[in-house]
Amino acid sequence: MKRKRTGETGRDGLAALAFLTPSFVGLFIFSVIPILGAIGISLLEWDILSPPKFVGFANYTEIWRELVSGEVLRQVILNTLYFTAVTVPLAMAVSLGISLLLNRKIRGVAAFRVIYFLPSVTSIVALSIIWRLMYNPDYGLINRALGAIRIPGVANGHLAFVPLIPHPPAWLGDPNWAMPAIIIMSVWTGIGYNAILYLAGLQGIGKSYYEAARLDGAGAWQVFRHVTWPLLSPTTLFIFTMSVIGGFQVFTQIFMMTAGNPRPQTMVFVYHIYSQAFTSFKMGYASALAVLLFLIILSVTLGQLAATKRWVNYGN
Amino acid sequence: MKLRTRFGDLLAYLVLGAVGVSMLAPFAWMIVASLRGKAEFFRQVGALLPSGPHWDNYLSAWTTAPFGAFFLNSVFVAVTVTVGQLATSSLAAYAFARMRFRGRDALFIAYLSTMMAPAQVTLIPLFVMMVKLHWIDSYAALIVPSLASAYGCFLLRQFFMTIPGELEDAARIDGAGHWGIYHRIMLPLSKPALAAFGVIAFLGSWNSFVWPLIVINRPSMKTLPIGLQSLQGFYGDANWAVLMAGAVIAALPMVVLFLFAQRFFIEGITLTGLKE
Repeated sequence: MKRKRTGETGRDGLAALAFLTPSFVGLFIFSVIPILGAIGISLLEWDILSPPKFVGFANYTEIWRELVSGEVLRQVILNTLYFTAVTVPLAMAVSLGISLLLNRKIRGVAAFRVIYFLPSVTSIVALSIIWRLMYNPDYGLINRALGAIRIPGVANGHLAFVPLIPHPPAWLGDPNWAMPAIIIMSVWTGIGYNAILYLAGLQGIGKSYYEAARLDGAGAWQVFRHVTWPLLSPTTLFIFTMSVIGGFQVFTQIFMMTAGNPRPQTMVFVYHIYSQAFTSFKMGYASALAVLLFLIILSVTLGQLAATKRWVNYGN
Repeated sequence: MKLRTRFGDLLAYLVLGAVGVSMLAPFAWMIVASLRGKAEFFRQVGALLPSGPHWDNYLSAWTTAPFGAFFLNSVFVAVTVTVGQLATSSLAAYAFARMRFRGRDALFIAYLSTMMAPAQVTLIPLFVMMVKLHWIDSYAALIVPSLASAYGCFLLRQFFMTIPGELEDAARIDGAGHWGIYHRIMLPLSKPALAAFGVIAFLGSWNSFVWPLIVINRPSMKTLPIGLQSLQGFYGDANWAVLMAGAVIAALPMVVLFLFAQRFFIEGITLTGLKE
Protein backbone atom coordinates (compact mmCIF):
# COMPACT_ATOMS: atom_id res chain seq x y z
CA MET A 1 0.00 0.00 0.00
CA LYS A 2 1.42 3.31 -1.03
CA ARG A 3 1.49 6.02 1.56
CA LYS A 4 -0.17 9.29 0.82
CA ARG A 5 2.46 12.00 0.72
CA THR A 6 0.26 14.85 1.73
CA GLY A 7 2.91 16.34 4.00
CA GLU A 8 5.25 17.09 1.12
CA THR A 9 5.78 20.69 0.20
CA GLY A 10 4.89 21.92 -3.22
CA ARG A 11 4.21 20.12 -6.47
CA ASP A 12 6.71 18.46 -8.74
CA GLY A 13 5.43 19.88 -12.01
CA LEU A 14 8.69 21.15 -13.46
CA ALA A 15 10.78 18.20 -12.31
CA ALA A 16 8.15 15.80 -13.64
CA LEU A 17 8.32 17.55 -17.00
CA ALA A 18 12.05 16.90 -17.14
CA PHE A 19 11.67 13.24 -16.14
CA LEU A 20 8.85 12.59 -18.59
CA THR A 21 10.01 14.49 -21.66
CA PRO A 22 12.32 11.81 -23.15
CA SER A 23 9.75 9.02 -23.06
CA PHE A 24 6.89 11.33 -23.99
CA VAL A 25 8.63 12.68 -27.09
CA GLY A 26 9.58 9.15 -28.17
CA LEU A 27 6.11 7.70 -27.67
CA PHE A 28 4.32 10.67 -29.16
CA ILE A 29 6.37 10.85 -32.36
CA PHE A 30 6.85 7.12 -32.91
CA SER A 31 3.63 5.66 -31.47
CA VAL A 32 0.80 8.18 -31.21
CA ILE A 33 1.41 9.98 -34.51
CA PRO A 34 1.83 6.69 -36.45
CA ILE A 35 -1.37 5.25 -34.92
CA LEU A 36 -3.29 8.34 -36.05
CA GLY A 37 -1.32 8.23 -39.29
CA ALA A 38 -2.47 4.68 -39.97
CA ILE A 39 -6.09 5.77 -39.67
CA GLY A 40 -5.36 8.74 -41.95
CA ILE A 41 -3.55 6.67 -44.59
CA SER A 42 -6.38 4.11 -44.54
CA LEU A 43 -8.58 6.82 -46.08
CA LEU A 44 -6.21 7.29 -49.01
CA GLU A 45 -5.32 5.63 -52.22
CA TRP A 46 -1.56 5.91 -52.21
CA ASP A 47 1.48 4.10 -53.62
CA ILE A 48 4.01 6.42 -51.83
CA LEU A 49 5.54 7.54 -55.14
CA SER A 50 2.63 9.49 -56.60
CA PRO A 51 0.53 12.00 -54.63
CA PRO A 52 -2.12 10.44 -52.35
CA LYS A 53 -5.79 10.56 -53.28
CA PHE A 54 -8.46 10.86 -50.61
CA VAL A 55 -11.01 8.09 -51.06
CA GLY A 56 -12.95 8.19 -47.79
CA PHE A 57 -13.99 4.77 -46.58
CA ALA A 58 -13.45 3.09 -49.95
CA ASN A 59 -10.69 0.84 -48.58
CA TYR A 60 -12.98 -0.36 -45.80
CA THR A 61 -15.88 -1.02 -48.15
CA GLU A 62 -13.42 -2.92 -50.35
CA ILE A 63 -12.43 -5.07 -47.35
CA TRP A 64 -16.10 -5.68 -46.61
CA ARG A 65 -16.80 -6.58 -50.23
CA GLU A 66 -13.93 -9.08 -50.30
CA LEU A 67 -15.07 -10.64 -47.05
CA VAL A 68 -18.61 -11.07 -48.30
CA SER A 69 -17.75 -12.26 -51.79
CA GLY A 70 -15.26 -14.82 -50.48
CA GLU A 71 -12.16 -13.53 -52.19
CA VAL A 72 -8.62 -14.07 -50.99
CA LEU A 73 -9.06 -11.90 -47.89
CA ARG A 74 -11.67 -14.25 -46.45
CA GLN A 75 -9.30 -17.17 -46.97
CA VAL A 76 -6.53 -15.14 -45.31
CA ILE A 77 -8.66 -14.56 -42.23
CA LEU A 78 -9.76 -18.20 -42.08
CA ASN A 79 -6.10 -19.28 -42.33
CA THR A 80 -5.18 -16.94 -39.48
CA LEU A 81 -8.02 -18.29 -37.35
CA TYR A 82 -6.98 -21.86 -38.20
CA PHE A 83 -3.39 -21.14 -37.17
CA THR A 84 -4.43 -19.45 -33.92
CA ALA A 85 -7.16 -21.90 -32.97
CA VAL A 86 -4.83 -24.90 -33.26
CA THR A 87 -1.52 -23.39 -32.12
CA VAL A 88 -2.73 -21.67 -28.95
CA PRO A 89 -4.45 -24.59 -27.14
CA LEU A 90 -1.77 -27.03 -28.28
CA ALA A 91 1.12 -24.85 -27.10
CA MET A 92 -0.65 -24.10 -23.83
CA ALA A 93 -1.42 -27.73 -23.05
CA VAL A 94 2.11 -28.90 -23.80
CA SER A 95 3.75 -26.11 -21.80
CA LEU A 96 1.40 -26.61 -18.85
CA GLY A 97 2.30 -30.30 -18.82
CA ILE A 98 6.00 -29.50 -19.02
CA SER A 99 5.79 -26.93 -16.23
CA LEU A 100 3.96 -29.39 -13.95
CA LEU A 101 6.83 -31.83 -14.46
CA LEU A 102 9.46 -29.13 -14.00
CA ASN A 103 7.73 -28.12 -10.77
CA ARG A 104 8.45 -31.52 -9.19
CA LYS A 105 11.38 -31.42 -6.86
CA ILE A 106 13.66 -33.48 -9.08
CA ARG A 107 17.28 -32.94 -9.97
CA GLY A 108 18.37 -31.48 -13.26
CA VAL A 109 15.35 -29.21 -13.65
CA ALA A 110 17.62 -26.25 -14.41
CA ALA A 111 19.16 -28.09 -17.37
CA PHE A 112 15.75 -28.91 -18.84
CA ARG A 113 14.67 -25.32 -18.38
CA VAL A 114 17.68 -24.13 -20.38
CA ILE A 115 17.05 -26.64 -23.16
CA TYR A 116 13.36 -25.79 -23.49
CA PHE A 117 14.08 -22.09 -23.51
CA LEU A 118 16.71 -22.29 -26.25
CA PRO A 119 14.25 -21.66 -29.14
CA SER A 120 12.92 -18.56 -27.36
CA VAL A 121 16.28 -16.80 -27.53
CA THR A 122 17.09 -17.90 -31.06
CA SER A 123 16.13 -15.66 -33.95
CA ILE A 124 12.99 -16.98 -35.60
CA VAL A 125 14.76 -16.42 -38.92
CA ALA A 126 17.38 -19.04 -38.00
CA LEU A 127 14.68 -21.37 -36.64
CA SER A 128 12.68 -20.99 -39.85
CA ILE A 129 15.69 -21.93 -41.96
CA ILE A 130 16.33 -25.02 -39.81
CA TRP A 131 12.71 -26.12 -39.99
CA ARG A 132 12.43 -25.47 -43.69
CA LEU A 133 15.24 -27.96 -44.18
CA MET A 134 13.77 -30.39 -41.65
CA TYR A 135 10.53 -30.35 -43.63
CA ASN A 136 12.28 -30.97 -46.94
CA PRO A 137 10.41 -33.98 -48.34
CA ASP A 138 13.51 -35.70 -49.75
CA TYR A 139 16.39 -35.08 -47.38
CA GLY A 140 14.79 -33.41 -44.35
CA LEU A 141 15.15 -34.91 -40.90
CA ILE A 142 11.42 -35.46 -40.41
CA ASN A 143 10.76 -37.59 -43.47
CA ARG A 144 14.02 -39.45 -42.88
CA ALA A 145 12.83 -40.28 -39.37
CA LEU A 146 9.38 -41.28 -40.63
CA GLY A 147 10.98 -43.45 -43.30
CA ALA A 148 13.08 -45.20 -40.67
CA ILE A 149 10.00 -46.49 -38.85
CA ARG A 150 9.53 -49.91 -40.39
CA ILE A 151 7.12 -52.73 -39.75
CA PRO A 152 7.04 -56.30 -41.06
CA GLY A 153 5.16 -56.54 -44.32
CA VAL A 154 5.33 -57.72 -47.89
CA ALA A 155 7.56 -56.07 -50.49
CA ASN A 156 8.03 -57.53 -53.99
CA GLY A 157 6.33 -60.71 -52.90
CA HIS A 158 8.74 -61.29 -50.01
CA LEU A 159 8.41 -60.78 -46.30
CA ALA A 160 10.37 -57.68 -45.39
CA PHE A 161 10.43 -54.64 -43.18
CA VAL A 162 8.48 -51.96 -45.00
CA PRO A 163 8.04 -48.30 -44.02
CA LEU A 164 5.05 -47.67 -41.79
CA ILE A 165 4.37 -44.50 -43.78
CA PRO A 166 5.34 -45.24 -47.39
CA HIS A 167 4.41 -41.80 -48.69
CA PRO A 168 5.15 -39.16 -46.07
CA PRO A 169 3.73 -35.70 -46.82
CA ALA A 170 5.68 -33.05 -48.69
CA TRP A 171 4.98 -30.75 -45.71
CA LEU A 172 5.54 -27.15 -46.80
CA GLY A 173 4.85 -28.05 -50.41
CA ASP A 174 1.59 -29.88 -49.68
CA PRO A 175 -1.57 -27.71 -49.53
CA ASN A 176 -2.99 -29.84 -46.71
CA TRP A 177 0.18 -30.08 -44.68
CA ALA A 178 1.77 -26.64 -45.08
CA MET A 179 -0.24 -25.00 -42.32
CA PRO A 180 0.07 -27.94 -39.90
CA ALA A 181 3.83 -27.81 -40.53
CA ILE A 182 3.93 -24.12 -39.63
CA ILE A 183 1.80 -24.87 -36.56
CA ILE A 184 4.11 -27.67 -35.34
CA MET A 185 7.13 -25.39 -35.72
CA SER A 186 5.36 -22.52 -33.92
CA VAL A 187 4.27 -24.72 -31.01
CA TRP A 188 7.82 -26.03 -30.69
CA THR A 189 9.16 -22.47 -30.67
CA GLY A 190 6.84 -21.23 -27.93
CA ILE A 191 6.88 -24.14 -25.47
CA GLY A 192 9.79 -22.91 -23.35
CA TYR A 193 8.53 -19.36 -22.98
CA ASN A 194 5.05 -20.44 -21.90
CA ALA A 195 6.42 -23.16 -19.62
CA ILE A 196 8.54 -20.57 -17.78
CA LEU A 197 5.45 -18.41 -17.26
CA TYR A 198 3.43 -21.40 -16.06
CA LEU A 199 6.25 -22.48 -13.77
CA ALA A 200 6.29 -19.02 -12.16
CA GLY A 201 2.52 -19.28 -11.72
CA LEU A 202 2.83 -22.73 -10.13
CA GLN A 203 5.50 -21.56 -7.74
CA GLY A 204 3.24 -18.73 -6.66
CA ILE A 205 0.60 -21.15 -5.33
CA GLY A 206 0.86 -21.46 -1.56
CA LYS A 207 1.85 -24.86 -0.15
CA SER A 208 -1.00 -24.70 2.35
CA TYR A 209 -3.55 -25.29 -0.43
CA TYR A 210 -1.86 -28.56 -1.36
CA GLU A 211 -1.50 -29.65 2.24
CA ALA A 212 -5.18 -29.01 2.87
CA ALA A 213 -6.12 -30.97 -0.24
CA ARG A 214 -3.91 -33.90 0.80
CA LEU A 215 -5.47 -33.93 4.26
CA ASP A 216 -8.86 -34.22 2.58
CA GLY A 217 -7.50 -37.29 0.79
CA ALA A 218 -7.47 -35.78 -2.72
CA GLY A 219 -5.65 -37.71 -5.44
CA ALA A 220 -3.24 -36.19 -7.96
CA TRP A 221 -5.96 -35.49 -10.51
CA GLN A 222 -8.31 -33.98 -7.93
CA VAL A 223 -5.52 -31.76 -6.63
CA PHE A 224 -4.87 -30.54 -10.14
CA ARG A 225 -8.55 -30.09 -10.94
CA HIS A 226 -9.55 -28.32 -7.74
CA VAL A 227 -6.38 -26.58 -6.55
CA THR A 228 -3.77 -26.09 -9.27
CA TRP A 229 -6.00 -25.30 -12.24
CA PRO A 230 -8.24 -22.69 -10.54
CA LEU A 231 -5.33 -21.00 -8.76
CA LEU A 232 -3.39 -20.94 -12.02
CA SER A 233 -6.20 -19.14 -13.85
CA PRO A 234 -4.52 -15.68 -13.88
CA THR A 235 -1.46 -17.19 -15.57
CA THR A 236 -3.61 -19.22 -17.95
CA LEU A 237 -5.64 -16.19 -18.96
CA PHE A 238 -2.52 -14.08 -19.44
CA ILE A 239 -0.79 -16.70 -21.60
CA PHE A 240 -3.99 -17.31 -23.53
CA THR A 241 -4.48 -13.62 -24.33
CA MET A 242 -0.86 -13.05 -25.29
CA SER A 243 -0.86 -16.21 -27.43
CA VAL A 244 -4.07 -15.30 -29.27
CA ILE A 245 -2.70 -11.81 -29.98
CA GLY A 246 0.58 -13.39 -31.09
CA GLY A 247 -1.34 -15.86 -33.27
CA PHE A 248 -3.10 -13.07 -35.15
CA GLN A 249 0.29 -11.45 -35.70
CA VAL A 250 2.20 -14.49 -36.96
CA PHE A 251 4.49 -13.39 -39.78
CA THR A 252 8.18 -14.21 -39.73
CA GLN A 253 8.00 -18.01 -40.02
CA ILE A 254 5.46 -17.64 -42.85
CA PHE A 255 7.66 -15.09 -44.61
CA MET A 256 10.74 -17.29 -44.26
CA MET A 257 9.28 -20.76 -44.81
CA THR A 258 6.42 -20.54 -47.29
CA ALA A 259 5.86 -16.92 -48.37
CA GLY A 260 2.15 -17.75 -48.31
CA ASN A 261 2.56 -20.80 -50.55
CA PRO A 262 1.09 -23.11 -51.58
CA ARG A 263 -1.32 -20.27 -52.19
CA PRO A 264 -3.42 -19.40 -50.45
CA GLN A 265 -2.98 -22.09 -47.78
CA THR A 266 -0.48 -20.25 -45.60
CA MET A 267 -1.44 -16.67 -46.37
CA VAL A 268 -2.07 -15.09 -42.99
CA PHE A 269 -3.31 -11.65 -42.01
CA VAL A 270 0.00 -9.88 -41.34
CA TYR A 271 1.65 -11.47 -44.37
CA HIS A 272 -1.24 -10.12 -46.43
CA ILE A 273 -0.77 -6.62 -44.94
CA TYR A 274 2.96 -6.82 -45.65
CA SER A 275 2.61 -7.89 -49.25
CA GLN A 276 -0.18 -5.40 -49.97
CA ALA A 277 1.96 -2.57 -48.53
CA PHE A 278 5.49 -3.44 -49.59
CA THR A 279 5.11 -5.48 -52.77
CA SER A 280 1.88 -4.06 -54.21
CA PHE A 281 2.41 -0.61 -52.64
CA LYS A 282 -1.27 -0.28 -51.76
CA MET A 283 -0.57 1.73 -48.64
CA GLY A 284 -4.16 2.87 -48.07
CA TYR A 285 -5.69 -0.59 -48.39
CA ALA A 286 -2.92 -2.15 -46.25
CA SER A 287 -3.43 0.50 -43.57
CA ALA A 288 -7.15 -0.23 -43.50
CA LEU A 289 -6.27 -3.90 -42.94
CA ALA A 290 -3.89 -2.88 -40.15
CA VAL A 291 -6.62 -0.82 -38.50
CA LEU A 292 -8.90 -3.86 -38.72
CA LEU A 293 -6.19 -5.96 -37.03
CA PHE A 294 -5.93 -3.27 -34.35
CA LEU A 295 -9.66 -3.54 -33.68
CA ILE A 296 -9.51 -7.35 -33.50
CA ILE A 297 -6.61 -7.25 -31.03
CA LEU A 298 -8.27 -4.51 -29.02
CA SER A 299 -11.40 -6.61 -28.63
CA VAL A 300 -9.29 -9.59 -27.51
CA THR A 301 -7.63 -7.38 -24.88
CA LEU A 302 -10.96 -5.97 -23.70
CA GLY A 303 -12.33 -9.51 -23.61
CA GLN A 304 -9.44 -10.48 -21.37
CA LEU A 305 -10.19 -7.60 -19.00
CA ALA A 306 -13.84 -8.66 -18.80
CA ALA A 307 -12.88 -12.30 -18.28
CA THR A 308 -10.42 -11.36 -15.55
CA LYS A 309 -13.26 -9.85 -13.53
CA ARG A 310 -15.61 -12.78 -14.02
CA TRP A 311 -13.60 -15.91 -14.21
CA VAL A 312 -10.15 -15.54 -12.76
CA ASN A 313 -9.60 -16.80 -9.26
CA TYR A 314 -6.91 -14.84 -7.49
CA GLY A 315 -7.03 -17.20 -4.53
CA ASN A 316 -8.36 -14.79 -1.96
CA MET B 1 3.75 -43.42 -1.14
CA LYS B 2 7.52 -43.29 -1.40
CA LEU B 3 7.49 -45.79 -4.26
CA ARG B 4 4.77 -43.87 -6.02
CA THR B 5 6.83 -40.67 -5.86
CA ARG B 6 9.86 -42.51 -7.26
CA PHE B 7 7.77 -43.89 -10.09
CA GLY B 8 6.37 -40.42 -10.74
CA ASP B 9 9.86 -38.95 -10.85
CA LEU B 10 10.97 -41.61 -13.31
CA LEU B 11 8.00 -40.88 -15.51
CA ALA B 12 8.72 -37.15 -15.28
CA TYR B 13 12.31 -37.74 -16.39
CA LEU B 14 11.16 -39.85 -19.31
CA VAL B 15 8.70 -37.24 -20.56
CA LEU B 16 11.02 -34.30 -19.92
CA GLY B 17 13.83 -36.18 -21.63
CA ALA B 18 11.75 -37.04 -24.67
CA VAL B 19 10.56 -33.46 -25.08
CA GLY B 20 14.11 -32.26 -24.41
CA VAL B 21 15.41 -34.40 -27.26
CA SER B 22 12.79 -32.96 -29.59
CA MET B 23 13.81 -29.46 -28.51
CA LEU B 24 17.49 -30.11 -29.13
CA ALA B 25 17.18 -32.20 -32.30
CA PRO B 26 16.64 -29.25 -34.68
CA PHE B 27 19.70 -27.50 -33.25
CA ALA B 28 21.81 -30.65 -33.53
CA TRP B 29 20.53 -31.11 -37.06
CA MET B 30 21.48 -27.52 -37.90
CA ILE B 31 25.06 -28.11 -36.75
CA VAL B 32 25.38 -31.50 -38.46
CA ALA B 33 23.87 -30.14 -41.66
CA SER B 34 26.22 -27.16 -41.63
CA LEU B 35 29.20 -29.52 -41.81
CA ARG B 36 28.03 -31.67 -44.68
CA GLY B 37 29.51 -31.58 -48.16
CA LYS B 38 27.35 -30.13 -50.91
CA ALA B 39 27.00 -33.41 -52.83
CA GLU B 40 26.33 -35.33 -49.62
CA PHE B 41 23.34 -33.18 -48.98
CA PHE B 42 21.22 -34.30 -51.84
CA ARG B 43 21.73 -37.99 -51.17
CA GLN B 44 18.43 -39.24 -49.89
CA VAL B 45 19.68 -42.34 -48.14
CA GLY B 46 22.75 -43.05 -46.10
CA ALA B 47 24.31 -41.70 -42.99
CA LEU B 48 23.04 -38.54 -41.35
CA LEU B 49 26.50 -37.58 -40.17
CA PRO B 50 28.83 -35.79 -42.57
CA SER B 51 31.73 -37.77 -44.04
CA GLY B 52 34.16 -35.20 -42.75
CA PRO B 53 33.51 -31.82 -41.20
CA HIS B 54 33.30 -29.34 -44.06
CA TRP B 55 34.34 -26.23 -42.18
CA ASP B 56 34.62 -24.44 -45.52
CA ASN B 57 30.82 -24.01 -45.42
CA TYR B 58 31.36 -21.47 -42.66
CA LEU B 59 33.96 -19.67 -44.74
CA SER B 60 31.53 -19.62 -47.69
CA ALA B 61 28.73 -18.21 -45.55
CA TRP B 62 31.06 -15.60 -44.05
CA THR B 63 32.34 -14.47 -47.45
CA THR B 64 28.95 -14.56 -49.23
CA ALA B 65 27.37 -12.29 -46.65
CA PRO B 66 29.21 -9.77 -44.44
CA PHE B 67 28.39 -11.51 -41.15
CA GLY B 68 30.98 -9.46 -39.29
CA ALA B 69 29.13 -6.27 -40.22
CA PHE B 70 25.75 -7.89 -39.43
CA PHE B 71 27.02 -8.83 -35.99
CA LEU B 72 28.43 -5.39 -35.21
CA ASN B 73 25.23 -3.72 -36.44
CA SER B 74 23.13 -6.00 -34.26
CA VAL B 75 25.31 -5.33 -31.21
CA PHE B 76 25.32 -1.57 -31.73
CA VAL B 77 21.58 -1.32 -32.34
CA ALA B 78 20.54 -3.69 -29.53
CA VAL B 79 22.85 -2.09 -26.96
CA THR B 80 21.79 1.46 -27.86
CA VAL B 81 18.09 0.59 -27.86
CA THR B 82 18.40 -1.23 -24.52
CA VAL B 83 20.29 1.60 -22.81
CA GLY B 84 17.87 4.12 -24.30
CA GLN B 85 14.79 2.25 -23.17
CA LEU B 86 16.22 1.73 -19.68
CA ALA B 87 17.00 5.44 -19.36
CA THR B 88 13.75 6.88 -20.74
CA SER B 89 11.58 4.26 -19.01
CA SER B 90 13.17 4.53 -15.58
CA LEU B 91 12.91 8.33 -15.64
CA ALA B 92 9.24 8.22 -16.55
CA ALA B 93 8.61 5.39 -14.10
CA TYR B 94 10.09 7.49 -11.32
CA ALA B 95 7.85 10.40 -12.21
CA PHE B 96 4.75 8.19 -12.24
CA ALA B 97 5.68 6.37 -9.04
CA ARG B 98 7.03 9.17 -6.88
CA MET B 99 6.05 12.62 -8.14
CA ARG B 100 2.88 14.62 -7.69
CA PHE B 101 1.72 16.64 -10.65
CA ARG B 102 -1.53 17.47 -12.32
CA GLY B 103 -2.83 14.90 -14.80
CA ARG B 104 -0.43 12.19 -13.67
CA ASP B 105 -2.87 9.29 -13.70
CA ALA B 106 -4.47 10.34 -16.97
CA LEU B 107 -1.05 10.59 -18.59
CA PHE B 108 -0.10 7.16 -17.25
CA ILE B 109 -3.23 5.66 -18.80
CA ALA B 110 -2.36 7.42 -22.06
CA TYR B 111 1.08 5.77 -21.93
CA LEU B 112 -0.50 2.37 -21.35
CA SER B 113 -2.97 2.80 -24.17
CA THR B 114 -0.16 3.14 -26.73
CA MET B 115 0.70 -0.50 -25.92
CA MET B 116 -2.66 -1.61 -27.30
CA ALA B 117 -1.65 -0.91 -30.88
CA PRO B 118 0.12 -3.84 -32.54
CA ALA B 119 3.38 -3.10 -34.36
CA GLN B 120 1.72 -3.70 -37.73
CA VAL B 121 -0.48 -0.64 -37.27
CA THR B 122 2.41 1.77 -36.91
CA LEU B 123 4.53 0.02 -39.54
CA ILE B 124 3.35 1.86 -42.66
CA PRO B 125 3.22 5.40 -41.18
CA LEU B 126 6.64 4.86 -39.59
CA PHE B 127 8.02 3.68 -42.91
CA VAL B 128 6.65 6.79 -44.59
CA MET B 129 8.21 8.88 -41.82
CA MET B 130 11.61 7.23 -42.39
CA VAL B 131 11.37 7.89 -46.12
CA LYS B 132 10.54 11.57 -45.53
CA LEU B 133 13.38 11.92 -43.00
CA HIS B 134 15.80 10.20 -45.42
CA TRP B 135 16.53 7.67 -42.70
CA ILE B 136 16.24 4.58 -44.91
CA ASP B 137 19.46 2.55 -44.60
CA SER B 138 20.57 4.33 -41.45
CA TYR B 139 21.18 3.46 -37.82
CA ALA B 140 18.74 6.22 -36.90
CA ALA B 141 15.90 4.24 -38.47
CA LEU B 142 16.89 1.12 -36.55
CA ILE B 143 17.36 2.87 -33.22
CA VAL B 144 15.45 6.13 -32.75
CA PRO B 145 11.85 4.85 -33.07
CA SER B 146 12.58 2.27 -30.35
CA LEU B 147 14.18 4.51 -27.74
CA ALA B 148 11.03 4.86 -25.64
CA SER B 149 8.96 1.95 -24.37
CA ALA B 150 5.55 2.33 -22.74
CA TYR B 151 5.93 -1.22 -21.53
CA GLY B 152 9.20 -0.38 -19.81
CA CYS B 153 7.65 2.67 -18.12
CA PHE B 154 4.80 0.51 -16.86
CA LEU B 155 7.00 -2.34 -15.66
CA LEU B 156 9.50 -0.16 -13.83
CA ARG B 157 6.78 2.00 -12.30
CA GLN B 158 5.18 -1.13 -10.83
CA PHE B 159 8.55 -2.08 -9.36
CA PHE B 160 9.32 1.41 -8.02
CA MET B 161 5.94 1.40 -6.23
CA THR B 162 7.04 -1.60 -4.18
CA ILE B 163 10.14 0.16 -2.82
CA PRO B 164 9.43 1.55 0.67
CA GLY B 165 9.70 5.31 1.05
CA GLU B 166 11.77 5.48 4.27
CA LEU B 167 15.12 5.61 2.51
CA GLU B 168 13.96 8.52 0.41
CA ASP B 169 12.74 10.41 3.45
CA ALA B 170 16.21 10.07 4.96
CA ALA B 171 17.83 11.23 1.74
CA ARG B 172 15.46 14.15 1.50
CA ILE B 173 16.43 15.26 4.99
CA ASP B 174 20.04 15.16 3.78
CA GLY B 175 19.00 17.57 1.05
CA ALA B 176 18.64 15.21 -1.91
CA GLY B 177 16.29 16.27 -4.71
CA HIS B 178 14.38 14.06 -7.13
CA TRP B 179 17.41 13.50 -9.32
CA GLY B 180 19.49 12.42 -6.34
CA ILE B 181 16.80 10.05 -5.09
CA TYR B 182 16.31 8.65 -8.60
CA HIS B 183 19.91 7.80 -9.33
CA ARG B 184 21.28 7.17 -5.83
CA ILE B 185 18.37 5.25 -4.30
CA MET B 186 15.82 4.09 -6.87
CA LEU B 187 18.17 2.81 -9.55
CA PRO B 188 20.48 0.84 -7.21
CA LEU B 189 17.50 -0.71 -5.42
CA SER B 190 15.87 -1.66 -8.72
CA LYS B 191 18.79 -3.57 -10.22
CA PRO B 192 16.85 -6.86 -10.55
CA ALA B 193 13.97 -5.17 -12.37
CA LEU B 194 16.32 -3.12 -14.56
CA ALA B 195 18.29 -6.26 -15.45
CA ALA B 196 15.12 -8.19 -16.22
CA PHE B 197 13.63 -5.49 -18.41
CA GLY B 198 17.05 -4.86 -20.00
CA VAL B 199 17.30 -8.50 -21.06
CA ILE B 200 13.81 -8.42 -22.57
CA ALA B 201 14.53 -5.16 -24.41
CA PHE B 202 17.86 -6.50 -25.69
CA LEU B 203 16.35 -9.78 -26.85
CA GLY B 204 13.51 -7.97 -28.58
CA SER B 205 15.83 -5.63 -30.42
CA TRP B 206 18.34 -8.35 -31.30
CA ASN B 207 15.75 -10.64 -32.88
CA SER B 208 13.69 -7.86 -34.43
CA PHE B 209 12.87 -8.74 -38.03
CA VAL B 210 10.06 -6.88 -39.76
CA TRP B 211 11.24 -3.35 -39.07
CA PRO B 212 14.86 -3.81 -40.25
CA LEU B 213 13.53 -5.78 -43.22
CA ILE B 214 11.57 -2.73 -44.32
CA VAL B 215 13.99 0.12 -43.60
CA ILE B 216 17.31 -1.51 -44.53
CA ASN B 217 18.37 -2.49 -48.04
CA ARG B 218 22.13 -1.93 -48.04
CA PRO B 219 23.95 -5.18 -47.09
CA SER B 220 26.51 -3.41 -44.88
CA MET B 221 23.68 -1.95 -42.75
CA LYS B 222 21.85 -5.21 -42.12
CA THR B 223 21.40 -6.81 -38.73
CA LEU B 224 21.87 -10.56 -38.20
CA PRO B 225 18.24 -11.66 -38.76
CA ILE B 226 17.78 -9.83 -42.05
CA GLY B 227 21.36 -10.63 -43.05
CA LEU B 228 20.56 -14.30 -42.62
CA GLN B 229 17.33 -13.80 -44.52
CA SER B 230 19.26 -12.36 -47.45
CA LEU B 231 21.54 -15.43 -47.39
CA GLN B 232 18.44 -17.61 -47.80
CA GLY B 233 17.39 -15.35 -50.65
CA PHE B 234 20.80 -15.86 -52.22
CA TYR B 235 21.06 -19.64 -51.90
CA GLY B 236 17.41 -20.72 -51.79
CA ASP B 237 17.51 -24.50 -51.91
CA ALA B 238 20.79 -24.63 -53.82
CA ASN B 239 23.28 -24.85 -50.98
CA TRP B 240 21.72 -25.91 -47.74
CA ALA B 241 25.00 -26.56 -45.96
CA VAL B 242 26.19 -22.97 -46.30
CA LEU B 243 22.74 -21.71 -45.32
CA MET B 244 22.90 -23.85 -42.16
CA ALA B 245 26.39 -22.52 -41.43
CA GLY B 246 24.94 -19.01 -41.71
CA ALA B 247 22.12 -19.95 -39.32
CA VAL B 248 24.70 -21.23 -36.81
CA ILE B 249 26.71 -18.01 -37.09
CA ALA B 250 23.59 -15.89 -36.65
CA ALA B 251 22.15 -17.87 -33.74
CA LEU B 252 25.35 -18.48 -31.80
CA PRO B 253 25.94 -15.09 -30.08
CA MET B 254 22.54 -15.00 -28.38
CA VAL B 255 22.68 -18.68 -27.40
CA VAL B 256 26.09 -18.15 -25.77
CA LEU B 257 24.85 -15.04 -23.99
CA PHE B 258 21.80 -16.95 -22.80
CA LEU B 259 23.88 -19.83 -21.44
CA PHE B 260 26.02 -17.40 -19.43
CA ALA B 261 23.23 -15.14 -18.22
CA GLN B 262 20.27 -17.53 -18.15
CA ARG B 263 19.21 -16.45 -14.67
CA PHE B 264 18.51 -12.94 -15.97
CA PHE B 265 16.64 -14.28 -18.99
CA ILE B 266 14.39 -16.46 -16.85
CA GLU B 267 13.84 -13.66 -14.34
CA GLY B 268 13.06 -11.24 -17.14
CA ILE B 269 10.44 -13.54 -18.63
CA THR B 270 8.93 -14.27 -15.23
CA LEU B 271 8.75 -10.61 -14.29
CA THR B 272 7.34 -9.41 -17.58
CA GLY B 273 4.87 -12.27 -17.62
CA LEU B 274 3.51 -11.80 -14.15
CA LYS B 275 3.44 -8.06 -13.64
CA GLU B 276 0.58 -7.92 -15.99
